[in-house]
Amino acid sequence: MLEAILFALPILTALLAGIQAIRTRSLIRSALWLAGVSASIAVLFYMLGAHQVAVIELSVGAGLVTVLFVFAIGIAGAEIQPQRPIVPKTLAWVLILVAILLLAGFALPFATTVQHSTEPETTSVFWQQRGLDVIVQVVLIFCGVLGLLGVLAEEKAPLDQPMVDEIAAERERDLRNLEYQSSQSMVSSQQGQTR
Amino acid sequence: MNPTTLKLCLMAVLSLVGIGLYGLMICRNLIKMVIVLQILVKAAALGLILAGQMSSQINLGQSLGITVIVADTIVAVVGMALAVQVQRRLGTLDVDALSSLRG
Amino acid sequence: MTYPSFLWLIALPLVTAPLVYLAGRLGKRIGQRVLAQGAAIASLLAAWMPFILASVELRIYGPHSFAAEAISLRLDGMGLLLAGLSLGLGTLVVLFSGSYMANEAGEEKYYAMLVAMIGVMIGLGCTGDLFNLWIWFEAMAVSSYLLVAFYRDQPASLEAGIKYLVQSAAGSVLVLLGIGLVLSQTGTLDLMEILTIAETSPLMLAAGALFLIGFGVKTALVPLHTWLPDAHAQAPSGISAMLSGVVIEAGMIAMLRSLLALTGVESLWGPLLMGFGALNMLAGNLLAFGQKQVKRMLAYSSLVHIGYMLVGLGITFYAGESGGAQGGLFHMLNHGLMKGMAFLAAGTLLYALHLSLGDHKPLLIADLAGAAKRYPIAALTLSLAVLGLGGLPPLAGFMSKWQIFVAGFETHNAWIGALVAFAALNSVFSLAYYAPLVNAVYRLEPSESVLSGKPLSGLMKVPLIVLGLATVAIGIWPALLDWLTVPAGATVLVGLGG
Repeated sequence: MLEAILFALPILTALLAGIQAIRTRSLIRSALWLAGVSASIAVLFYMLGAHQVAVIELSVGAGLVTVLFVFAIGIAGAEIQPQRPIVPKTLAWVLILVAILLLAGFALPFATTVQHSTEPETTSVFWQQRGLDVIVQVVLIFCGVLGLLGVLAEEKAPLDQPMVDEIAAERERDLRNLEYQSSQSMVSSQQGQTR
Repeated sequence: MNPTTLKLCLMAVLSLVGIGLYGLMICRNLIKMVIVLQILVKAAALGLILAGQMSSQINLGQSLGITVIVADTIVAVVGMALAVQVQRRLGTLDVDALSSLRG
Repeated sequence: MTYPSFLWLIALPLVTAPLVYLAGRLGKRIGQRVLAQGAAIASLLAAWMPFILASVELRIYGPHSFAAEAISLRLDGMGLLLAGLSLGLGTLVVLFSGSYMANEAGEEKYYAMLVAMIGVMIGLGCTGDLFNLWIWFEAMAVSSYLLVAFYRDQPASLEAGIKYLVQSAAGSVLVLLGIGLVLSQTGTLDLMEILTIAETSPLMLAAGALFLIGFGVKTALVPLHTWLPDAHAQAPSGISAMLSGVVIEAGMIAMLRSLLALTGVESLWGPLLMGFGALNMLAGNLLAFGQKQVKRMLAYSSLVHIGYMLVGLGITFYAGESGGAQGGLFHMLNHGLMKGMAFLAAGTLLYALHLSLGDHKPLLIADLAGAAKRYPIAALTLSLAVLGLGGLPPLAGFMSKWQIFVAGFETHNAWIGALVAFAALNSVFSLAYYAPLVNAVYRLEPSESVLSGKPLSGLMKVPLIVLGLATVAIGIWPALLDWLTVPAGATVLVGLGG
């Protein structure tokens, strides 16, 4: 019983922070509440005996992602919006509650732990046994970075591109034409005046 | 770990998923949608750790958890980039501004 | 230690993708913009070699696997089919993209991402581990986000990208929960082991439902399809062809793999797949019917074709005969070819009429009036593609649909008979929106936009001609692809314990 109460603390914090992250209207606050969810989940991980993930969750989830969010909000501007939901709120609540209760009804009575033989250390599970996951993860990171570059990069045409030279030459030509025409019209108007 | 605690943690996963899905339904701000997605991902990672715990393979669970956290951080970053780009082009993050594609 | 050739097939595109990017950067610097495309073509052509070896090996040795510690990669009929489809269509799309993308900034990212996506899809087809399946799936999603939102100056394509991202990320979280449930009950992630260990329990039913919904977002099962028309219509046309022809099919293969591991648990999957199939056909047809934009119409028609495939696969899940799955997977190939051709042909016209003139307006059916007079090849292949999709006899689409229908009637089940009849009706109904397109292209007088369009480059026509010939050839001689579809159909049966 004592253990359950001990576990309930981070769980409740996580849920509260999650609700707050959705309810608050300021984006920055929302991102900070997300960091709260992350931190309490990390505590929970630690209590469940998953020490490495706890560390990673704390540094990546609560740290890095929050910084990135704050950064993105800084660029995009923290506009505060009225909450006009896409789906009516009550409908959303009812839908979600039904789905969750169904799942819970299925899942909870069968939740038991099974005893297996001892298994190797996390590092060896991660790097060796599931090494292929790591490789695919590298591919995923490559795609993600490329995607980030593709979406965000400011495309200023590099100066050594032939296109740019062409455009510059064209503009030069146009400018000269314009000068020539204006000087011509000046000349003609002056001639008109002298007549 | 005793059964009560286990059930408590499972309920936590389910409630977090519920909160996340609810958030996705009502949020209109693009960056906030990405934030809500992150809540969902935390729930999934917790679920995997619990699954590892339940089959007494906590290290396998940890390995999966790390992979999930890393992979979904990348997704969140790409999502944020898209949102920022929308803000640059349209000057707003409101989903309503993006309703050119109905029907 | 020897490595089977299918490993090279997976690794080659993945390893060369960064090289394609570097080649593209270099090409930009020295003013040779074709370098990125050239590198992509070289990389994909190189991958054909291990593909041929792998298919020969599959023929000789049967399905074989390679164990990388706890995770096994496995080449079987379904994996080979997906590899063939993505590699085949991918090569043609890269060829096609040459002049289509020539004026776009960041084309080196486009080609690198495309090559990486092809490699990831081949890997997704070959994995034998549930969690590894998820991470391949997620990598596929991440590689397609940029491609969907490639025109990042267009609000419409940004919206399509972000809609796609949010929905598929939510779906992948549901898949993760399902994986958690399976792991907690069986203690293993290997698909084969799960098949033998898993026992009937409500938890496993919940896991299967989560897989169905989670992967269903990518496969565009009907209530979860809302991202599809936007993404398919807004992406560059080559990517539309890839998304519609291969990516949703890869999602379906992932769904099949995970559900097949749970077949011992529950007999409900067959009826569920067939039910979603019926829903997809009906909704897809109704939505496609009123469309004025060509690419949106084609996107909605993908829903219909996913429906046919689901019906075929559902028949096998239900009745345990390989005919339905074989037909469904055959239709997957044919749909890839025909829809790829349709999107590429629509893409050439879109390029000629709008993009090359610098506007990003959508291609309307009205724009195509009389296009046959100025663009005979694009018009012919577009018509061939939509008529094949509609299921007109001597074309590929008819053959695979026919195979599904026959398999349905052979079950001698009244419900399945009715479902198949419904599918046939839908197939006829789909002509109601395909026929006006052909009519507009051939019978009407040329419209203003056709008359003011730019001429097409020769290289763009090559993929169209190849796909057109393939569609006709498969339609006349469907046994041409038996070497791909028969082992793939057998894979489904192995999963079902037959």
